[in-house]
Amino acid sequence: MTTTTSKQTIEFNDKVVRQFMWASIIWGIVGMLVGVIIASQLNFHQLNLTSWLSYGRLRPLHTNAVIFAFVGNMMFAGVYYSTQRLCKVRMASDLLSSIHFWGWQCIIVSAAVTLPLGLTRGQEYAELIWPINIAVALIWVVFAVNFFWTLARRNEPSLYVALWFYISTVITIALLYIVNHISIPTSWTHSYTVFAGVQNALIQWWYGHNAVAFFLTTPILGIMYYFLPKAVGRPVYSYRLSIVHFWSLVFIYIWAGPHHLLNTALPKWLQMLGMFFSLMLWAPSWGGMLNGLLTLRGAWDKLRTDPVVKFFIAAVTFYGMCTFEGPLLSIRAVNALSHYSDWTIGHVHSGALGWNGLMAAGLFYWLTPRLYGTKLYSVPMANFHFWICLFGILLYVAAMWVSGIMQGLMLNSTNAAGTALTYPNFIETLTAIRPMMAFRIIGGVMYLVGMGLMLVNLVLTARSGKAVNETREVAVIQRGSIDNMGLKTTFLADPVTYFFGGLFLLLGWLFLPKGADIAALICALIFASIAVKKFISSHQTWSAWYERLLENWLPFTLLTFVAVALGGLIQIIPTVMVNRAKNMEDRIQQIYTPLELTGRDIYVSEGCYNCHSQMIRTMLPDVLRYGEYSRMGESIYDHPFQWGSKRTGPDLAREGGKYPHSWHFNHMKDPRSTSIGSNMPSYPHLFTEKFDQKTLPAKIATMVKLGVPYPIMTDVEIKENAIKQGIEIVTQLKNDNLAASPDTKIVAIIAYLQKLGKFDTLEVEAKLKNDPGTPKLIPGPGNPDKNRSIDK
Amino acid sequence: MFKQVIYESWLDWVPYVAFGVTALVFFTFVIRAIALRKERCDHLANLPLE
Repeated sequence: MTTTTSKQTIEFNDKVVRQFMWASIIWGIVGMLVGVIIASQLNFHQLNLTSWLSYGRLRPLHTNAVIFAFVGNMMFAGVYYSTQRLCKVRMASDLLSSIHFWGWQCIIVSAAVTLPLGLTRGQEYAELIWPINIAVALIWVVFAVNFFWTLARRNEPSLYVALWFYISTVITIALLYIVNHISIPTSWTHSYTVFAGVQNALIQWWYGHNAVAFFLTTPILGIMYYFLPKAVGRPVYSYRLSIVHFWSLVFIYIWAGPHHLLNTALPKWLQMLGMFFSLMLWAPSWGGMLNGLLTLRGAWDKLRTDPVVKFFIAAVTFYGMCTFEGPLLSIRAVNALSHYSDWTIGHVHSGALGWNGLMAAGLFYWLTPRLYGTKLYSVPMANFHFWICLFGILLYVAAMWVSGIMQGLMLNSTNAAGTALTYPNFIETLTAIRPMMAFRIIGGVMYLVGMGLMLVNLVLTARSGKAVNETREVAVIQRGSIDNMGLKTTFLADPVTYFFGGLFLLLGWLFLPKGADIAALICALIFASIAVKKFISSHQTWSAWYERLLENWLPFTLLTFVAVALGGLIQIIPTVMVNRAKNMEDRIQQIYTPLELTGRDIYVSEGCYNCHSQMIRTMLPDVLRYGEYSRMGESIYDHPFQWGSKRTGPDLAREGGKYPHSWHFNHMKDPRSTSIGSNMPSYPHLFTEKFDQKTLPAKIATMVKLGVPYPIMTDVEIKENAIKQGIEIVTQLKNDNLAASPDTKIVAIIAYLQKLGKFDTLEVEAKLKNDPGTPKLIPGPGNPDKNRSIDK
Repeated sequence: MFKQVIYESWLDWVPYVAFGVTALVFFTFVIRAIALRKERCDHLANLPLE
């Protein structure tokens, strides 16, 4: 029971909503323009005008701009607007709102400057360098404090379902972002992630997949649940369905990350877990989509007349399409065809442009007239925007489907006996999809034109009115009448006790030795039967507990955190804690020399991973094309891992020794001179720029801290070692009448490329270790194997 | 312990675990949703329209 003390007129902070809205539109146009440029570069390599405008550096700028700048700002606009109305209170702090807005824009500008300069962490959607990572974490905390403070001051006892989705976003993104960005800096602009190889891959895609889930999906679903009913003037089709939608989605989504690593060296159990939970996602996703579509019941005529409803309904339809396609692509057999191909690119664009982009347009067309106290300047222009965007995105997605399926089939095609590839030359498959890559540019331009029209339409709308902050009279709730559920009442309640007790016993079944595991399973079953009995006898108490939860934001948040953390922890803890030395599948990667490590950093900086994978999958066509499948131990010292997610060029996992130094030299200078028909950019700057010798000792020291067993070397020895290897490469190049300086970047990158795929067997490793001439290895503090013996 | 996690074949029962966990969460909240009183449900559904 809540107590109302008085009525009060409040003025909402709509200024921050306007700011985020305009920022979203402007950054959206910038991000999509960069998208059109890089799509064009794939067709016309001449458009890679300078080093800082090359594909490898611009592609991360495009993805970061669309995800964090376009969708991020749109999400914040929607969250700030709806949270204030649903809580019937102004945002808790104007200062925090302002810091959030300006801080976020500074982060975007920093990203726009650093990424083209080649300053990157080399992990997709997690490219930003460590000082920016800290800024992101701090600004996110500012947002979280402001958001939860507003919830604590609310004048509406119940938390509407949209707020649940926002809560899950705020806490999960914080968790994902922090874990995936744990790094050790080597300078102000460079760091190495603490995770390597398979561990890094798992954590990166746990983050990457759930960035899609909790940054591009849950907040937008919250926006759907608030703004769609507003637009059509009727409540959501089924509030009951929204309860099932929220909890199932939040619980299941977090498990699905490993589907990005199917058929790779990732342990099979994780691949299976990722695949099955992805398939399970069909149910809640489609439940949510149907709930959105059916909200229009009895008002379908609005679909013809109201551009806002058009955008929303098309967006929700794209959500349904994407969430059908995602699980489909997660089936291991389908993934064997689709992975590394344009099919995935089509999938993500139907999500980002179809689901997020159309939702953003609907939201902005609905918001602007209200935020400026006027009418939309031009409905026909908005309708034209809708159609040009829809045709643009459909053309884009269809082109990418055809391109991806065609190239996937060609790459996987073998003769009847399965002993030879039908298309052994990778370039053949690239040439085949060129027309589809051109259609993508047209689709992208159409979408961009639509965005431009929206900007014009909304600017003219804003100019026809003036900025207004909505005021509303609300009944103020007495403090203490809500949010009074203590931690004891929350966590010592029967539903929580039985759930965690059962889970604990199930974990015992999984991890205890034989005999004890069966005992744990029997106990779990007994415990479950007691829980069912208890529920039958006192289900009203259980219901009352849940009802109270919906009026108490902190316990609700804590339990949501537990739901999302559970899936991540079960996958990550065994993989991170596992003794790396025992799980290398008979091979251990040879450590990089100082020059090779420098070359690797240049490879990462140039964004080569955007087009080249380093992971030969456990599939016959991959093995026939690239060599033996990649083992876990072969990337054990890779900070960060470079398995990649797209093959615009061939896999490089076993590139070392395949070609002479001169081939790489000529290839980097003009890729067409060695690979006719290649669309790879030329890298003339690598031939003139010197590699960074100054920070090399700090980089080696950091590697040692992370457990890479480098022999003891002084700073001078490290630099001498690099130059000495550089001279060896230059000497060999001279034999082929090619000239280079041993301290240039091209020499370092040749050294790295020639090292790819080099490994020792465990026997050789053990022999080397016992050889009295071998320098003593340094057990670094970050080494997960430091307390374990390799020989055990 | 972790050796078992990495090496042993989980193929024969991981699908059941995935399905079981999902079904548990799904049905728990289906029951919860069905048990929600109609007037409470209508009140919550109408919050954005107030």
